[in-house]
Amino acid sequence: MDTILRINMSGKNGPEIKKESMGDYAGLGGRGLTSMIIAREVPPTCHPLGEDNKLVIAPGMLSGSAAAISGRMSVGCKSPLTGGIKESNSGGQPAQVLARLGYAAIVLEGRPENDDLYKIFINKDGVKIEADNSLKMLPNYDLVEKMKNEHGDKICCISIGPAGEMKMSAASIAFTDMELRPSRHAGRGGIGAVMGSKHVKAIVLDDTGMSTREPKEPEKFKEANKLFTEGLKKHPVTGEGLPAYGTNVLANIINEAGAYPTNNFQKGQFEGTSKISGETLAELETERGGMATHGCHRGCVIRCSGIFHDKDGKFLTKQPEYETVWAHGANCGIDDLDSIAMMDFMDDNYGLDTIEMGATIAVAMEAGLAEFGDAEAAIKLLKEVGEGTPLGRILGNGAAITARAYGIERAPVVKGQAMPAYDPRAVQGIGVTYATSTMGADHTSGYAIATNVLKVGGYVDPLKEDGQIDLSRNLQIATAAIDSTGMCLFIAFAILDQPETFQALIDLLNSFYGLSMTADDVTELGKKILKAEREFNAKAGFTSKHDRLPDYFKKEPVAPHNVTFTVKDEELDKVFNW
Amino acid sequence: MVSLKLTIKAAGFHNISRILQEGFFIYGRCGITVRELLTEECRLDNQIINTKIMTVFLNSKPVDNIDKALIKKETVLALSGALPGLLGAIFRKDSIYSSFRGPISYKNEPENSIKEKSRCKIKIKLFNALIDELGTHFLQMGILIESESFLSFIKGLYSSFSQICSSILLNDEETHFEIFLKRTLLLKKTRYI
Repeated sequence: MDTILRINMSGKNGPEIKKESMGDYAGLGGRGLTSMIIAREVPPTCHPLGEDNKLVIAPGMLSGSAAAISGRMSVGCKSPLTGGIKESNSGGQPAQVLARLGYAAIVLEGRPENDDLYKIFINKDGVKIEADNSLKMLPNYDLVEKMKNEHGDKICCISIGPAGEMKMSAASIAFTDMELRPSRHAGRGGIGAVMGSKHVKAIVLDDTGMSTREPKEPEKFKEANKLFTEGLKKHPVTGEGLPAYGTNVLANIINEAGAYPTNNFQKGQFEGTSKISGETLAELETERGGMATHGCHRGCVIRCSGIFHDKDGKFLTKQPEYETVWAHGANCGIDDLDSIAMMDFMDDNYGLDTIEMGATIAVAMEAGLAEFGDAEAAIKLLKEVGEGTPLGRILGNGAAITARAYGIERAPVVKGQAMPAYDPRAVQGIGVTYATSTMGADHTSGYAIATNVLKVGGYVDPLKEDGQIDLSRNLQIATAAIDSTGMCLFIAFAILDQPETFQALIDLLNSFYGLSMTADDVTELGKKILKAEREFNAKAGFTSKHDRLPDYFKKEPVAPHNVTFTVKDEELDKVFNW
Repeated sequence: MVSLKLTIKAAGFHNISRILQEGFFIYGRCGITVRELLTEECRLDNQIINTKIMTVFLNSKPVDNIDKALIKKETVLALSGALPGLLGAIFRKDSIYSSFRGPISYKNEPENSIKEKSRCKIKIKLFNALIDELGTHFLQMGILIESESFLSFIKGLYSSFSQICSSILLNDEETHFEIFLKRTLLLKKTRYI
């Protein structure tokens, strides 16, 4: 995995393929690599859909190896949704396969002058790119079926649906799962629109004939992997809670806490939660012959996903995740799992971010386009997006644009990106991360390892009044580093509670690359990434004024606790003081 | 008074899950701590409380210390196992991230602030792993549920009744589900069953 594959879509005689060594990017992977390439090579003021923007697709440092749960793929670019730097990541098979094929990144550059739509095929023999206009406006599931017919079932795919082709700011990039279904998405920030702007519909990967990446120190690596896997399996969250109920196990708890945004963030509790909770979802999946426990890629030991069947027992979609169930459920006042699962499928098929679309439909409901709780109307609105009707074009560009088009103040966005499923008034520390993240409102930006395990910036007293500022900073640093490894963020809590599991992760990296990194080095990597991202955003025109929640979160109390967001602006400005 | 004995097969236990998630009632005493309620009234072992009950809400407020949190009239107590993600960690008892939820956390009240230790009704909700871990324990102990929850549960059984319920004894008489359903629907005015 020491090659960067660059494809210049502006070539005079069609796309030009160039392979180069890692050069100054050596030692980087995942978010570290995507953000460094974007920060260094993309003019911050360029138009996100213009020829100067680049789309970087990079597996993590340990992807393609035997390391457990190392199959996350990062995608970076300048975001059409936020106007700032973006890294969005996904599970699925392609990270492992691309890494085994020897590529540390694919960089799509330039923009074709014609209207052709391209397909890229990569296998052990090399890279082919060809125009294939028969793929135009195919939804993801149909597209993958076509690729399967053409290339066999040993492939995996990275693709965009019609939303990406229409360059909508809520467009995602799909990654196929173990069953070769396009059910995993790098959803946030409109990265699918950037792939669409490059006229690339699909990247098909086939690693037949390639082998697993070998570590420099095999014995140490094997031992570290064993300890790491044991640590994940013995921890109650990664070993029991997640496999049994999936991420949606959070619904009941967040609702109980009054932090479950309901009806476009008007309330913090939804009375229909027990009908859409992870517990109920898992029961329904099992009852209908689906699966309540399933991995999104080979090598996952947590297996937090599942398979959702319809009322007739036929596959409808993968298990909708917590954020999706919330976005299309409680946030729109909908308590019907079948409708939510249908919208999850439609998002995946059209190639849309489920969080952005749920938030957008809720804004549309507040604007009077439908009633809260009307699942049929919500599905109809989503269909408009997939079909690209004039209304659909507005909705497909996200919650902020929709709110502006309909004169709605209550747009739950930061830097143009919709907030995920936690009300920042009830969980103020999450609000700090939403406000200050380089990515726009993003719960995963400050997600990983406990500050007091890494001791990033010294010991933090969580009971201190400003503990949430320090914690948010340190979580964001740690997350940036973890996002570079290819590891799923859900490893974070086994690491938090079990120092030996954290050490096993460091040992995995060290034995694989023959390094002698310490926790401090991991911290430095996280800081370096965040610094590059912040600098890019500053040059793109972002100031501290953009590190704020919308005003109404400071004014409108949310029930049941009747709290507002009270963290002061000057406190928010301290997050990146290190 | 109507006496009803429903025998649910083990495989049908998950059908009861919604009742446990939405909440059921038990009787306890005002002024005791959450731990006292769980050990003395609910007869739960301290080891289970310490190792399995990782997240506790008292009237929607996350609790850090169950030895200080006090039961009052109409208290709603929600109990959960370990949860994923940052948010899962934020809401845990004694969480290192407790500052993230500062304004909504349960604030300890002075000891003896509730003078009258009278008997009171408490609503308990069980989530995730605790549905399996503690559900049967509470059912064996006996719970009270609102008639609306009970009716919703019975209606939910309709299509799969034969797979779930092995017998219905209504006033000690074996009863067919259809007859039982008709009788049950007449119970709307009953507050607790």
